[in-house]
Amino acid sequence: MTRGRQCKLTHFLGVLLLIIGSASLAGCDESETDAQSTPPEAMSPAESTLSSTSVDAPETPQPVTPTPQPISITVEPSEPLAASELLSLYCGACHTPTNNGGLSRISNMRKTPEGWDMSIVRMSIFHGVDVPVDIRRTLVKYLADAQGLAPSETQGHRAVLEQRHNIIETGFDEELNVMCARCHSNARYALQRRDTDEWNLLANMHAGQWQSIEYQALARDRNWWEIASTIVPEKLGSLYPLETTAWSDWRAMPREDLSGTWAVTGHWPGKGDYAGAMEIDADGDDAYHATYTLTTSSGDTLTGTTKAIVYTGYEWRGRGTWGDMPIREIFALSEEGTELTGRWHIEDSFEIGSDFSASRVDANAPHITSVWPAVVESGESVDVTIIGMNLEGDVSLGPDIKAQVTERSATKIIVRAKAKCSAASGLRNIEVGDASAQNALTLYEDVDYIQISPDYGIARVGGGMTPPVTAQFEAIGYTNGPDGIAQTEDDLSIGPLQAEWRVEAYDEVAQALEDVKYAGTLDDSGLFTPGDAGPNPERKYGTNNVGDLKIIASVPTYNGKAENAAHLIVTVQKWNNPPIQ
Amino acid sequence: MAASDFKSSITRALLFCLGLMFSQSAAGVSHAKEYLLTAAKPDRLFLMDMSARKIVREYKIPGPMIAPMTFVPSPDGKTVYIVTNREKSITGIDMDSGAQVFSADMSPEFDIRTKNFGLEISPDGKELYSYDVAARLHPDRYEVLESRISVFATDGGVQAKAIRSFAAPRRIHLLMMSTDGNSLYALGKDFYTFDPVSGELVDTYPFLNWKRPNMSPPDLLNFWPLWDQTMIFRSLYTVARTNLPPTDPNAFAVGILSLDLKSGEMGVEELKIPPEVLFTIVTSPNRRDAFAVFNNLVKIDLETGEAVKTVEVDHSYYIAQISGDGREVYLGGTMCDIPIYAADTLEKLDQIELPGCPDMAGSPLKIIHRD
Repeated sequence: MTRGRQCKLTHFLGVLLLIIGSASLAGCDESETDAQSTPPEAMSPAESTLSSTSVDAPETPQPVTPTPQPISITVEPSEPLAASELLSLYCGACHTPTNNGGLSRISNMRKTPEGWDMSIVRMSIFHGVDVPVDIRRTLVKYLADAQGLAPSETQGHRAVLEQRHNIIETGFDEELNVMCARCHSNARYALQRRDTDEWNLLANMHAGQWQSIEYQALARDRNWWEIASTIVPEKLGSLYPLETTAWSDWRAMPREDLSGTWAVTGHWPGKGDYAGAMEIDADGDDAYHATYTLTTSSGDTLTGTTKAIVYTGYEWRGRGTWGDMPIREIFALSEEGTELTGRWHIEDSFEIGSDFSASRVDANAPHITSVWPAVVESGESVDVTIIGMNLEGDVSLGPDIKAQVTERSATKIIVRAKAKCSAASGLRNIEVGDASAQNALTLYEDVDYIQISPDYGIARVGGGMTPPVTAQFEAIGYTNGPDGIAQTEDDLSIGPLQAEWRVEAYDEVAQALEDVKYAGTLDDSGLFTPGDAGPNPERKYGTNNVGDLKIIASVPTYNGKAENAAHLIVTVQKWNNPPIQ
Repeated sequence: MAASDFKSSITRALLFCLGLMFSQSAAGVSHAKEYLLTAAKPDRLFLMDMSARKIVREYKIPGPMIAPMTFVPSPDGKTVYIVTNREKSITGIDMDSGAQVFSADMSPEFDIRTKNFGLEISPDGKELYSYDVAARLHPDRYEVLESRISVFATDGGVQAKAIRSFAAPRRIHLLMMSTDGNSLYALGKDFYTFDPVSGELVDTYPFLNWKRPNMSPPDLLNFWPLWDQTMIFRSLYTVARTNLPPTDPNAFAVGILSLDLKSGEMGVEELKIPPEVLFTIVTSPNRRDAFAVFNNLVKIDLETGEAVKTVEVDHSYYIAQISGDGREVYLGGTMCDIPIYAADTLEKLDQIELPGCPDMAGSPLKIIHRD
């Protein structure tokens, strides 16, 4: 801190709500062509733990293009068939047996559970294969287990699996970035494993099924097919081959039983933090059910139940209800089997959801799970809530912070924390009896600057069968840290702050088209809700309620205010929302 | 009026008259009445008398999954051949009876999936040329096949088969025939000239492969046959100056690719207009002016390369077409209205709305002449 602010015993900066939490990733993956497709025959919600699946159709609506002889199989065996037998039964009419006992094409690739599910759905939509929901579920489980990806092979791409909304992918091969990621995410191919010849067959599928693909922008500026059928398969086969040590090692590892008690923490952008316990019980065959008992930073109790299947030994896909919210869970078990991390989202609104983290804990041992607010301003008093298990004993918030317990139970303690005026900014440990949490509390003097998360967001107009896609922004406060310089590594995050929000046109074009008037509304929590879909006769060119906007947050500080802006694109509807974009 | 202005006016008037004569001569139906033709989803074809500002006939296009795309009228204006069935069929309609007189499936083989990406008719009306993109669907995989141009006899009936075909480069999007019928031009990555009889690729004019210092290859995508009134094809392209940062106002330029379908003369020239998205351009019969459109309607002086006038239009339009006398510009594509603009002032004069507001999508506006 370099400004030498004088500590005041009392000061009010309006309502300054401090909430700790990680910020959602920023960005926009608008490379993808907006597309329509025939609605997929999604898995029955009651029976599926995978997200409902659609496949991309990067051109005008395509009819279902059946093979010359659409396949519909009706089987009433006297005994249930094994998954491998079902695979042969439903896929073997077209996919012929291979020398190694597999089926052509199918045996030559590995995918995530979502990837396999999308393949089956594509076979249904485009090739007329009628796979009943229960069979589809069995096949996905079988294929994801036998031909999945190792945990390390999904690293760097999980945000797409988790349906995170504003992602800018970086660090990919530039040729693949253009050839593949102008329509898909880079994760779409990076979450598959094939050898070069099989990747080439995928290129043939693209040009064979979507024959306008070569005419599109970023395709017609090059010899697209020549590149797609030579350079691209070679690169993909080299980067993402079928056989890898990571996969063979992972297949050889024993599978973890996830049953037990887990300590849960999470941050829901725009809503706040939550923490508590997750009890997992095994139902057999990698199926589980979980019960949540959570407390939110607004003081409410949140309970929930989930049914889940674990694919490939680590991919938790759950579906349940938290409070009155139907939700989907996309978590991954760490290779050690001790951490379960990922994201959940509202069933029909993938953009509304939360980071999630759970650690396997001893249900009888003391444990601090979460703290909020995790910041204390020097010279100020604040009620700090400590969530945990078996919380007994003295409470300490570290040097220079006086802690007075005002409420306590074994799972929740509320402490009136007061930091000295002279207290130095920095991180503090929290201790409750034998339980401790390192660097769990940040002591700070003032907000030096804010950043908005995401700094580049996207929202979509809604209407008809497609609801709007909202965009949640948060103003994250920072101190400059010991070096007194903003945007350096020693800066301390003081979490999301309550801010005054406003919208402005991003540029002159947006100003002329009155985007602020038509594109949607921004509420006090930083939630942007876009307008209705369809041509708007009131607008110039009768355009949709799209917009190019600045989202501006302003937070009061001792010296005035800290302000920053994010960029929001409000664009048209997207009818294809496959589990892997 | 200064002498030079007078001379210029005379010159323009002569050009106009010559252009008009040429236009009518090219159409070969100098005494027939001019109509405008367009198609719309799901299965409609509309014949319009633009001077009367009305639709004179509406046709139902037969067949499954119509979604009409491009079409070509026969030179005598009696038959229209339309790409339908999501680019997998060509249907011919008799303009008098409305009956289907021609039909061809792009994929007669059960395991081949073929789509049309370009259609043209010979000047004598006897042959149709279809640019086909094909793939074989094996039981467990696709196999991309060589793209080709298929030739159909227009008297092939309702189960017409290609009478010949020949290989053609990938990604062609527009076919056009020389007025003498001796050259079939195909615009794609480059601009190709085929012998329509032998199928020989006799010339390639580099476009994607056009190498210029500090200039990107031009970007061009044009599906619209809009040379009816002049037999001069023109298409806009965009090019980037690679030695300038993208933020530089001069970093991008709009140019015109031209082909005189009578003389075979081809040319490219960058314009002196601010870069903006413009989908199509149509040449006036006076051969001096051209009209380009998307969100703006821009009148361009082809001699100076400058924009003479620009007006905003009501919404995005893909196509600009022009009347035979050069006095009116018609806009179409995208939605269901066809506004009429004065060619000299770009004042909006009127508009025709298609009944039921069907989507014209990518269908062209074509001029035909009928008695």
